[in-house]
Amino acid sequence: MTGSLLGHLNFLGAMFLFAVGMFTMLAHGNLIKKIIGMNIMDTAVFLFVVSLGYIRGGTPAIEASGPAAQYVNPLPSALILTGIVIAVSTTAFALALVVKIHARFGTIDADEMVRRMRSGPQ
Amino acid sequence: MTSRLLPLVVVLPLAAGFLAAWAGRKNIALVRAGAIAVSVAHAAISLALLAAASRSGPLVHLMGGWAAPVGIELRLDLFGAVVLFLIGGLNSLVMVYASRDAAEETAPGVEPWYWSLLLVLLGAMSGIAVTKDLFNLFVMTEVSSIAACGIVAVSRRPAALEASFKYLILSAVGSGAILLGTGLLYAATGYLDIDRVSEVLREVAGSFPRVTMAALALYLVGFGLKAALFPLHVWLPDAHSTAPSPSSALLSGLVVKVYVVALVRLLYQVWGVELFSQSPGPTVLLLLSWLAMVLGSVFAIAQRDLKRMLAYSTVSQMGYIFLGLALASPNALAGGLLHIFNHALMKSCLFLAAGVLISRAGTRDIAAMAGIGRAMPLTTAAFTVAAMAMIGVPGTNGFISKWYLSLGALDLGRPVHVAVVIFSSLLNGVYYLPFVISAFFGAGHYEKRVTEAPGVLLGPVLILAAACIWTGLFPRFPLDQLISAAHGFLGR
Repeated sequence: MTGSLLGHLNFLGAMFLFAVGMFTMLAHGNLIKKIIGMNIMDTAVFLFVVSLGYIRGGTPAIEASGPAAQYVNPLPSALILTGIVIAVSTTAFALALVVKIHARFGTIDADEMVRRMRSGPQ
Repeated sequence: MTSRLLPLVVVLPLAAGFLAAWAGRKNIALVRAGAIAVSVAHAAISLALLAAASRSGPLVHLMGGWAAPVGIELRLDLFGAVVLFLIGGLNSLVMVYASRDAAEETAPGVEPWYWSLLLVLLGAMSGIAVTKDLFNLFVMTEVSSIAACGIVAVSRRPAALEASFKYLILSAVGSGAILLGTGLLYAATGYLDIDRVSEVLREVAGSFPRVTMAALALYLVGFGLKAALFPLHVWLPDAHSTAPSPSSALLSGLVVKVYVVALVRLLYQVWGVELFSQSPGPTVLLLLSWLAMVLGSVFAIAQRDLKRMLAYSTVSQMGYIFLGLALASPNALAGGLLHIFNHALMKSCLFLAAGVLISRAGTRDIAAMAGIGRAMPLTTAAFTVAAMAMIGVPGTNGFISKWYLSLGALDLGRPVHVAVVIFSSLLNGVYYLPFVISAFFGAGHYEKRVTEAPGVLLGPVLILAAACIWTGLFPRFPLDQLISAAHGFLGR
C-alpha cells in the first residue's frame, strides 16, 4: 500500500495542490488572492501532466543517443507549454479586470465591491 | 472524405479577429462591415460543409498533413455540421444587430476590441464543434471562455466588471477541472485523439476504474460549470444580464451550447453510452436537470429586471438539454440536441428584442415597461413569438424539442419526466405571459415618446422570430439530421 502510494506521489501532490488552489479561488474575498489560487490550481495540473511523461534517468527526446524507451515523453511537456501560455493570458486578463474594478469601485474585496455596487448609482 | 474548407471555419474568424483589433482604430465602419462579411462567409462555408457531410458522411482534415495520433485531426460529423451552421448563421444576425447597437452599449473607445472579441469567439466556438483532439478541445474551450468574459466586460455598466470577473474565476475552475480530466484520461489511455482514447478506454476502464471515473467527474463539473448546469449556474444571471444585448444573445444562444456539444462528444463518443450508463453520471445529470428546469423557472419568476429574467430562463432551458443527454434514449437525445438548436434561436431573439425594448423604454424594470407593445408592435410581437416557443406552444420550435424529449421519456417507460417537462413549461408561462400581456394591454404611455426600432435592429429580431415558427412548422431540418446523429451516438 505504501509502495503504491509513494509510486503515485505525483497524483497525491497534484490533487492536494489542486484542492488548495480551488479552495483559495472560491473561499477568499480578495480578488488578487483568487487569481493566486487560480495559478496554484493550474500549476497543480501542469506538474501532474508533466510528471506523467517522466522516466527516471531518461534523456530528452532531442538527444540522438540511447534506446528509444529511455526518452522522456515530450508530448506532455509540449502540451503544458500551451497550458502555461493560456494560464498566463487568463491571469493577465483577470489582473486587468481587477485594475478596472479598483478604479471603478475603489476596492479589491469581493464582498465590499458588491456592497458599493448596490449602494452606488448604476 | 477529406475537406480543405474545414480549417477555414476556425482560421478565418481568428485571423479576422486580429486584423479587426488593428484596423478598428482607423476605420470602425470598415471593421463592422468586414466582421459581418467574415461571419456570413463562415455561415456559407458551414452550409457547404453541412451539404457535403449529409451527402458523403463525416468530413476529416489532418492539420499540417499529420494523421492522429501524431497530428491533430478535425472531423465534422452531421451533428457538428448542424451546430457549425447554427453558429455561423446566428452569429451573422447578431453581428448585424451589433453594428448599430455596439456603439451605444460598449464603454467609450472599446468598440474595435469588441468586434475583435466577437470574431475570436466565433473561431473558438467553431473549433470546439470540429475538433477531434482532446487537448485541442481544451485550448478552444479556453479561447472561447476568455473571449466570452471579454464581451461581458466591454459593457458600459459598472456591474459588468464584477460579473465578468466572477465569470472568469468560475470558468477558470472549470478549465482546471477539464485540463486535469484530460491529463487523467491521457495517463490512462496514452492518447488524445477521441477515437483512439475511446478504443483504449473500453479496455482499461475495468483496470483503472477510479482514474477514469475521476476523469468523467472532472469533465462533467468543468463543462457543467461553463454550460451553467444547475447549481453551477451562479455566474450566468450576472454575466448574461449585464453584458451588451448582442453579447447576451451570443452567450445564451451559442456559448453555453458549445460546451454542451463538447460534453455530448465526451459522453457519447469518448466514453460511449455503455460505459457512461454504468457510471453514476446519468443519475446525477437527471437530478440536476430536474432542479434546473423547475428552480431556474422559479428564480426567473422572482426577477424584476427583464434581462435577468431571460438569463434565469436560460438556466431552466439548459435543464431540458441535460435531460435529453441523461435519458439517452434515441428520441430523448434527439430532443435534447434539437433543443440546443431551438433554444439558440428563441433566446437570442428574446435577448435582442429585450435589448431594443430596454434602450427605447429607458428602463429594465418589467413592471415599468407596461404598454411598450403598442409603441413598438413589431419588436414586441417577435418577443411574443419567441416567448411562446419557450413555453412550447404547438406551431413553434420549442414544442418540437419538448415533444421529442417527452417521447424519449415514454419510450423508457418513465412518464414522470414528462410531468416535470410540462410543469416547467407551465412555470415558463408564468413569467413570460404577464410581460407579454402587460406590454400590449398595460396602462403605459409609451406611444407618444417611443417609436419602432430601426431596420438594422429590427431585421435580425424578426428573422429569428420567423425562424422559431419555421422550424416549428417544418422541423425536417435540423430534426432529421439530429435524429440520425442521436442514433449514431447511441450506436443503434
